[in-house]
Amino acid sequence: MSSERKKTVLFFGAIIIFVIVNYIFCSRFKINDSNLYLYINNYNNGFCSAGLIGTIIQFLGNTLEAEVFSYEGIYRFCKIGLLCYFIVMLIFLVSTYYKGKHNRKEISILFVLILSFTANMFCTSSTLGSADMYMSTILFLSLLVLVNNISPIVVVILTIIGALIHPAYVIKCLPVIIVYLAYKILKKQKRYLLYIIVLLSVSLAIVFIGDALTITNGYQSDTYYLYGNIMSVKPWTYSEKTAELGAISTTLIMPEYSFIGTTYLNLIIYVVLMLPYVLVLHSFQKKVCESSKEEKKLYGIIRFGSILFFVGFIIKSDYGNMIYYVVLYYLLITVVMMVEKDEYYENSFDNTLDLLKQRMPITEVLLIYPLLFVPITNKEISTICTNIANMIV
Amino acid sequence: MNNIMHMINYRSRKIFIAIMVVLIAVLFFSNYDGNIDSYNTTILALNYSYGFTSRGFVGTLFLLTSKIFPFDINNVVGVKVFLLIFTIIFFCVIIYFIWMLVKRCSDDGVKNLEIMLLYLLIVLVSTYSSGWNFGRVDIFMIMISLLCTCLLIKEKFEWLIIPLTSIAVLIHQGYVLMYLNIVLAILAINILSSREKRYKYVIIFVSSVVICSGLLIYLEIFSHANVSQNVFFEVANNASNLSEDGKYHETLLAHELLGVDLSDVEHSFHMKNLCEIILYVILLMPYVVIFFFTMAKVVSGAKDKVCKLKYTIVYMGALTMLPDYLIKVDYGRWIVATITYYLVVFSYLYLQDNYIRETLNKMVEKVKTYGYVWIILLIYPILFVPYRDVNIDKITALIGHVLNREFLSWW
Repeated sequence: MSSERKKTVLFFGAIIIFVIVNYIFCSRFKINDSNLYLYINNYNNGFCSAGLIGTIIQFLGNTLEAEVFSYEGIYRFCKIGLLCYFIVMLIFLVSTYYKGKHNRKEISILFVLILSFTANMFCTSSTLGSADMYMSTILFLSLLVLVNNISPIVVVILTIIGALIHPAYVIKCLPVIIVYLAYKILKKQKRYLLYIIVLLSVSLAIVFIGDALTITNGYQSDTYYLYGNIMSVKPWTYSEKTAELGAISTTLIMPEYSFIGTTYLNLIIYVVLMLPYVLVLHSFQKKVCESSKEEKKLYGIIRFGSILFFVGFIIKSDYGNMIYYVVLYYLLITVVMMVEKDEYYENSFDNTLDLLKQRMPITEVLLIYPLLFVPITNKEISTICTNIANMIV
Repeated sequence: MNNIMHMINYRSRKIFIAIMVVLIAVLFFSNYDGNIDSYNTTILALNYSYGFTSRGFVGTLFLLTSKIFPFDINNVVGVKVFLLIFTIIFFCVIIYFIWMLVKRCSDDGVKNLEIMLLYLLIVLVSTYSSGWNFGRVDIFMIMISLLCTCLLIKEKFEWLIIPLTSIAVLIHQGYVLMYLNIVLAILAINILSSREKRYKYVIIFVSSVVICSGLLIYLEIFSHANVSQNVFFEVANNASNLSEDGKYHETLLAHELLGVDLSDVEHSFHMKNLCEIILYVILLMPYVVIFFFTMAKVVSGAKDKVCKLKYTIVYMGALTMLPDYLIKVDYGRWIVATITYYLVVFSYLYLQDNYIRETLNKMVEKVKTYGYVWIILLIYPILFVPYRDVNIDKITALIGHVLNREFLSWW
């Protein structure tokens, strides 16, 4: 075996072990009641938002007579979903590693950061079985399709599935895909313009129709209460407040102000503690924009594309998930730029790395530090933020 | 060593220390949950007013503090504040120790030293901030060993090692097996390396060993108070008041006050330990391989017999922990003690010994030739912190639990 191949096998062997350890580790957690709405909501009473997973559960339970209408059944379903998430993520990493031959060093560093955030993101009680687990799987699949230049019609189908899983797919996952397609358009592949239009139209249509029908038909929190108590880890402890949150959580446009509490403080603390990364990212993106004189607008769109996530920060209460997507946005965009051999990204990445090595005595800390904040939880972002916020409030 | 001071980039060292301080804060807030194990609160109820018992030093300190200060600390809040203050002092000692080392290391070798010290900090701060080990007397023992190491680095007031190590044994007689080896290994290195101060180091070495071993034997065999039932219940009542859930650690009090050994109830813990230590070694196999490979290379490449002896003593120094591994059940703490021993002693050697520095640097360069496996190797151990007590860490605890439930039924 050649030296290069040996290094690759060792690197991915270590990644696979890392992922397996996290998968095993999540066995200790139970599914939180606040995620059960996804498995209860279905299309039995007509089209609604966030009904796809619930419909699949109904299909498995009623047609195939699988034992899913219980906590154990839902738990098994979630574990299979988590396994699919890891498999798709690993295939994406392997594919981009091989495609980005000229930028292996940069891609490896980005992989470590991606794994820090994603490896145990859905391995906690607040995130196991959440809609974000399935949406992230679809996101990685879509990027895999685009990176390998497979027909973008597959991406359209995947986007439809994503929007049907949960309407928040449009604000959480779609920005990465849209920005990547916009990059391809401005690099003279104008055919992707049609796909952007189709993607946006179809996904927004699904979201608005679904939300409108859900709001028109009412909360149906009594249905959530009934099924929630059957599927909950402790029977008949599913609260009415959780049922109400569940009903609101199926839509994109229904705001969750009353459930935010003090998590805004957690967000501020998190941003302050992650300030070194914010500054590094700002410096990196600024270099990219400044060096790309003629295509400044494109790189400006990429740089500020995460503004779309602010909609989520305003109307939704799951700040932990939003942070996950913001971080993933920048990491995934940088990875695909490396795969596309974008000269501005390559040069800026190398310059930023050299600058960090000059200024920081121990750059390895930048890889270790994010690990202290994971796993990211649904609402409260991180245990550190919660502990500091509790001291302040 | 002083000749190279002018070559050192102090600014970079200060930035490193600032990063370590931030890391301490983040690690503390990540792991601290406000809980204190009943064992750690019960120890504060033990003091010398009931007799010269083992593990009574910290309790006596607590008693004196409550008598000196004008506010009552004999309650849950008082205990938390007392232990928090000493934990902060512990963190300050770690930072001081790290600064002692980095400011003396030349620019070309400092990066690998910083990585070793970074791991030492992560392991110690995470473990002793978490609910299983917050407030444990181990922090006092580690502080004393680190301070003794600092005295040896500075080459000043080395005689203080004798009283400091004696105090550490009074804090917990387990110090002799757990953390005294750090001080003794470094003294042994200095005895074998230094001609001028050899006599002095031999006296300190022998005195420390004799006094600490003598105290261990006395405290372990002769010192149990054999108090009356009323006194036992008075102490138990005090211990309950100090604990948030109103519980006290029965085994500890029975052992220290009545001389009753309840260790036969620990059989299931021994089985758990056996399962988890095997899992731990398997999960950390790359590091075990690198460790033994480096050990063989260092000892075989030493220039003469004295150096071979020196390095063999360093590698074998952790074997003082063997009785703890065989008889006692707190494997999480023994693992922390083993890791602390190697990181502290090798950090010291890295500074003092050119041969060790070159060998470790070459080993790191060799691992880096495996591409970005190096980055994974850096990050992987972070998954295992914080270490616990009977369970080693959360991963081995979980896998061990599943294996026992499905296959082994050992406990």
